[in-house]
Amino acid sequence: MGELEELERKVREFISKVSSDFGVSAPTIELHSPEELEMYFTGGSEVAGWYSSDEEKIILNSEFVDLETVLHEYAHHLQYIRSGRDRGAAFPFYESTKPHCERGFEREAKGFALAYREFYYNTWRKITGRER
Amino acid sequence: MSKSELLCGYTASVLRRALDNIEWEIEKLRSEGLAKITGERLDEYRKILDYFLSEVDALVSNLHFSCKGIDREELEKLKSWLKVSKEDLKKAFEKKDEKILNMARVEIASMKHHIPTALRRTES
Repeated sequence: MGELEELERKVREFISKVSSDFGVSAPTIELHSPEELEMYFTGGSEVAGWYSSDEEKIILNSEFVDLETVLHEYAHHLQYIRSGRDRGAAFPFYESTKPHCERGFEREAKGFALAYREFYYNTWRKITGRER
Repeated sequence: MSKSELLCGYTASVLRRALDNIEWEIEKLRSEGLAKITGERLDEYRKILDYFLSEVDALVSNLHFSCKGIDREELEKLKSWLKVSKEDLKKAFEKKDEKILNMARVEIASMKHHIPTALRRTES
């Protein structure tokens, strides 16, 4: 198993535990190299991660895999489920016209990551062997 | 204690802490005198309050995931207090009105004291 696949497996295991605590189905996890992400869209290599609600998938940049990013993207998964899997309700279009940090769902995701990183730090470290 | 119960307990304590922090910042604003604070100092207060409010937003929004036995009716009360207190804080800053600021403080304090009631596990 390659290094990237091994890390992807570990993040999947971590997210599976978090999802079990929150009582929801786990999103799919995919890790890609910056080069692969650049092929998704221009500038993709500089994005730490994003959530694809259509596929219920968290896509992570292998260069920026850390607990805060993973929890941030996971918060978007919870937002989507909470909305009854209604993308327009979870991520309203009018919010998308605002700067990234001013969008309600992004602020909430940031708050979620900040609130839970302490709780999940040991689990994260144990599974992934990463300090951050 | 299961991991889910730990998660719920942790959520409640972080929520209380974030609300404590908001209350503390409002108290400081009141003691300094909202009307006297301007410019960068006012922006600083706004940023700090926004930071704690986004934490509270995330915790309250996902409370029914992290605390399965939460009383739905009480959860709605928490949500509505949060909405009102956010609106009042915004108004207080815009109008530099200490009375509205105090209303927001009372609403935040009410939320904090209401958490144990909301988290009362329902019989199943």
